[in-house]
Amino acid sequence: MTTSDEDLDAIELEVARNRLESIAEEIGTTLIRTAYSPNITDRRDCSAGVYDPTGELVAQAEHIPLHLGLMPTLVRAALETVGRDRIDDGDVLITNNPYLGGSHLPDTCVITPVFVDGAIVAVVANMAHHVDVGGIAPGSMATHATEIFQEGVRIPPIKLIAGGKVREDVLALLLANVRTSDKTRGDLMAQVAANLLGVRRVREVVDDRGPDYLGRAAATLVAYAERRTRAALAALPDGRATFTDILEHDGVRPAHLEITATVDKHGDELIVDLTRCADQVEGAVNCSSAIAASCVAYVVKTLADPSLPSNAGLMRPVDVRTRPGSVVAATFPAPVANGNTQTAQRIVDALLGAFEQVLPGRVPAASSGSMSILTIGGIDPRHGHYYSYVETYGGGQGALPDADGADAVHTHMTNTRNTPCEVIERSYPLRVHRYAVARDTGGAGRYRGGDGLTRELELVDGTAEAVVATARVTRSPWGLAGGNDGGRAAVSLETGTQRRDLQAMSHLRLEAADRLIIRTAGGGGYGTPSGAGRD
Amino acid sequence: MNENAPLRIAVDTGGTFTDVAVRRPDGSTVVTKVASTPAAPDDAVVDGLMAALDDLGATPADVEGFVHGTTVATNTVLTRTGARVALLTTRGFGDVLRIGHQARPSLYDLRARPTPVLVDEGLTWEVDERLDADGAELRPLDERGLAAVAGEIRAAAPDVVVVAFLNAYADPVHEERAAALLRDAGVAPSVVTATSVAPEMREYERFSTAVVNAYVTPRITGYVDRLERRLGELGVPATLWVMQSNGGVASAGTVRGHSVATVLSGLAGGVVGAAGWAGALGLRRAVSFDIGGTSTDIALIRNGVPDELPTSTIDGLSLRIPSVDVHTIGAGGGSVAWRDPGGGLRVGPRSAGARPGPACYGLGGTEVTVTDAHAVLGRLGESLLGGRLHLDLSAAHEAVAAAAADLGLDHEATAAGILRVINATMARGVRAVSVERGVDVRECTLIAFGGAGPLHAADLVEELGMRGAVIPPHPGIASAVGMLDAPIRHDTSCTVAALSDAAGLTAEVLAEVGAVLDRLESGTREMLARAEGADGEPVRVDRGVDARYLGQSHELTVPWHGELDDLRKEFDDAHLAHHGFLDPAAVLELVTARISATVGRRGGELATVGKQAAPPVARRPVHFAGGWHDTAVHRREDVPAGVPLHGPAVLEQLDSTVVVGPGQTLVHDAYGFAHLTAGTPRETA
Repeated sequence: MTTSDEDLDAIELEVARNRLESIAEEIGTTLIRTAYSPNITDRRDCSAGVYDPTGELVAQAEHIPLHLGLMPTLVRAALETVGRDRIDDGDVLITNNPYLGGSHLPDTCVITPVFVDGAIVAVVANMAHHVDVGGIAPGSMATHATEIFQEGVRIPPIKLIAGGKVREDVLALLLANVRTSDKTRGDLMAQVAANLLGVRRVREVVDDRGPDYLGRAAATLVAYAERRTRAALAALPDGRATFTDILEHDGVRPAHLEITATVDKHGDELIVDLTRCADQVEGAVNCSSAIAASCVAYVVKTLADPSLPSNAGLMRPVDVRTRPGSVVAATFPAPVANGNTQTAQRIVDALLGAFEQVLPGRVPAASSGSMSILTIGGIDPRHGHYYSYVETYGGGQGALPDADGADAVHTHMTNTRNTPCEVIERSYPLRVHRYAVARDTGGAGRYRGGDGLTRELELVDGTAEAVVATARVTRSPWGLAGGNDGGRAAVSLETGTQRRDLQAMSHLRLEAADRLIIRTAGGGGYGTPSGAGRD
Repeated sequence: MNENAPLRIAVDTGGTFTDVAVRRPDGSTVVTKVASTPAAPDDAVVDGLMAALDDLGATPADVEGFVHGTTVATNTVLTRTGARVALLTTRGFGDVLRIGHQARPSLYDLRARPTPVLVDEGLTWEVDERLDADGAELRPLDERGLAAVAGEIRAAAPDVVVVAFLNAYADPVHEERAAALLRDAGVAPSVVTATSVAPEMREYERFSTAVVNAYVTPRITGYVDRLERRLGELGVPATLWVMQSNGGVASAGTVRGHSVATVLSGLAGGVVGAAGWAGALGLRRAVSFDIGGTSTDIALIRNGVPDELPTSTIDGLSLRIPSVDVHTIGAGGGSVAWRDPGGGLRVGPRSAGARPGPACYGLGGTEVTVTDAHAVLGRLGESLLGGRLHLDLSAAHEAVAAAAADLGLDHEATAAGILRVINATMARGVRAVSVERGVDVRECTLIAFGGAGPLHAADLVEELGMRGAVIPPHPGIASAVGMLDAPIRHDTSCTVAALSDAAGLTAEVLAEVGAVLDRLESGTREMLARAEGADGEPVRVDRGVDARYLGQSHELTVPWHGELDDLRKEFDDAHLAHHGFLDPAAVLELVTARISATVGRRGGELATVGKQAAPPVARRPVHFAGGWHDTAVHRREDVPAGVPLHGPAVLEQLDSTVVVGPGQTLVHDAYGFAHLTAGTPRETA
């Protein structure tokens, strides 16, 4: 900790915040602008940050909450693994290792230390979800993988660029193991270029303000964020409570996985205990401990103060405890691809359920509970080229204590945009028959839960492989304070006149004219429904 | 003998003031301001016009050109006071507007909601019909089903019915047939197809644009009718031209049918002015920087042309019409300073607005604002607007003192801190605009205007390391002045089928796109001659195509010359300029063919200003980084062309106050533009 007379004053603090946050934002916007794949440019599944020389997060621009707690641990671990004394000016590190503080393999982190006069003065980094990193399924988001080797290529922290030169042999090895090498190469170079801009901006700050400024600014901003979190926590009542929610599918088969969260808020500190969550499982719903930390950070921000700054100080008053080898702190060789899309949402549900007991009247009912990801891939008979349609679907938001939940939106840990029906029909051999709000799937209540979403897709031509991963098919999103549960999700396949219901997570083959119908869950209601209807 | 005729006049309606700019035959511009009349904005338009004519001793008969920037469409959307709109769409797609992009507006604020749609619950109908992505019919329009629906629609008594079908961009045949049947059935006073308003692919954007258009049309039409009538009664012979979001003007007649084009009209005027000045002054890269009371509008200008966007939003609703690319941040003269729970000094985004306004306006405001900080630091004098607004300096001091006590800082440090913080926020906005558009801010010149722009230019140039700043002659009325020179403009577009051709673009594809452009151009020329009365005037037609590398989902608009090699080079170059790289190996896809037709309206040369130097009208202590400086205060018109004025200095004029920092130099050019440059190395205070 810095002493108070080293700290910047209230004004310099705000100036520094603008300056350093804008560097993180600029790295992020540059990446979004220059990346090749729609995953980054449209869906904005990426984030960027500025760190102090030890890897402590000073400012972050995250575009989805999943990335909140990711890079802080990963950047530090990467620097330590490679060894700071073996990093030189012009080196750029890369890693996607979930067990080292990453998320799943598609989320690839590019890390660039900033040197001034031979010493590291800061580190800039960005993380982006790549469209494919190899493995058994196109898009590298298989539900049925049983070990990480089936999920794609795992990159320990290594130098992608050494002394300003791309290590072409390393890059060639990576690209040989992915399905979309052109896009991957373009996206990686965009990540490198975005960091370069950040390096330049950091050096400008040093030029402008002198060599000591950056360290003082970083320490002040982290201390400031910590004060903000402490103030926000202190304003909440004290209490301790536990809640268990269930994950109904492990990716390979139906399951009953307990996700148990105990929250213990005392004064201006919070302890979150996730050690009683189920053991890690065979399928791909395990998640990294960093994802679990992101979920806690998300819940703190939403419940305590949405404007809390995203840096290392945010989580200083918060102790997140996980048990290595559990489904929320996966260890080698557990597959993790859908820990992000499923388990992260359930961790949030469990945290909210626990907080509801500590903070009655402030917590929303359960939302649709999954990022509901659908992948359809195959050869397009129209031109003989491979295609891969990937989209995540919104659902119903849980009702709030004083407001209805929103219909058909992404909730909690993601917020990516949809693909227009007209673009789907033009780009893939698919036809959309219905894209609609799933009426009356929101739970009734004094305030009703938001409705889910329905999409009905037909494969027009050829054959295709489809992977669908949603949740809340067998267990409803819960209502609160007497509100009804939200309507469950449903996935079904229509072949000819047959209609077959599918499990929450399924892997199937489609023939031409087959229809896949996915309906996401509604949000839970809040408060006892009155006979007269909604307030 | 009347040296005033003919006059060209622009009137720009703002939230507080309605600004009037008058171009005289000799090219000189005079300006005036009157209070806005939000309940009936045309009252202030007429008041302002008459006030300006009185000042010049002119009459309505002298007005040869009349351009109007209106906020009627914008306010209709913001206040939700538009038409009752019904929507008829393809079966299975009645929720396209409700779903929107499926993204929530705030990551962490659970209460933030997507904007409610403009079609009320129960006013959407679905009908059986379907085309595929190439326009081939999969299912015919169910005319019997439509007849039943027509009765229900009529019973609901909408003002307008929008017919919006999936894939209609590929062929509007079903939309047009359904609209004709509904018109025959007399379901509503107006029935319009979505593709007639926005003809491009992506159903949400197209439906949304058509619905916003329907929603604002009755009010805009009524307003334009009334204003036209009043101008006629006054004896103004000029046609009424209305500012559009794309930076051009359109006739009142066109605006009645395509009202959505005026929704962002208020943003466009200033940017168009700044772009014109950047072009005239030969600035290669400029940032248009317009500070108002509540917000600051920032836009990038390359070689005198503002960046444009094919898609924009109003209050969270998507619009697929070309508009100037403006980034708005919540920082303005009225932004309120506050202490956050972590002890940081924050300024904005909340604003004291026009009422009560800053404490120093003496209208009952007690919260400390940016304007109060300027007043306390001596940057503002005792009155604004040529004496019409007296500043209550003691109220400003009281407001600052309260904030200082809260923050534990001294009085001056607090006021100076408020400016440092708001400048940091504004600098962040300027950086975002330049970086997001692939330009290094240090290569840019700041064009600072709006009433408060020239107060901040000196600090921002230093903060951002920019080349310098340019302050136009009438910074507080820049939007109205900018509109004087806006061309007539009409845009059309069409989604083309040259997609997903992995073999690349062939001569046949190019010929096909060329034919589409020919068709769009002849329609546009006819439209300009007929509706805009531009028959015989030289029309400039820009042909463009939205293209992308195969696999990308975002397009860039590049000029079309009909040659593959040219197109390839134009696209690769544009990709490099906007996105920082090019990919010569990638296949090029064409998505949209575009025509932008303009009829020039340049009213004349910039006027030269032959001025006599006059001594400062006052001296007063003004606070800059590091402390108080005894500072000369000039009337801006007393600073002649070509004579460098060294800071610190303050220049006062009717509509603004210009600050020159210590070490900086200001020079007026022959046309009255102030050029501000940093004269010393960057300060680190």
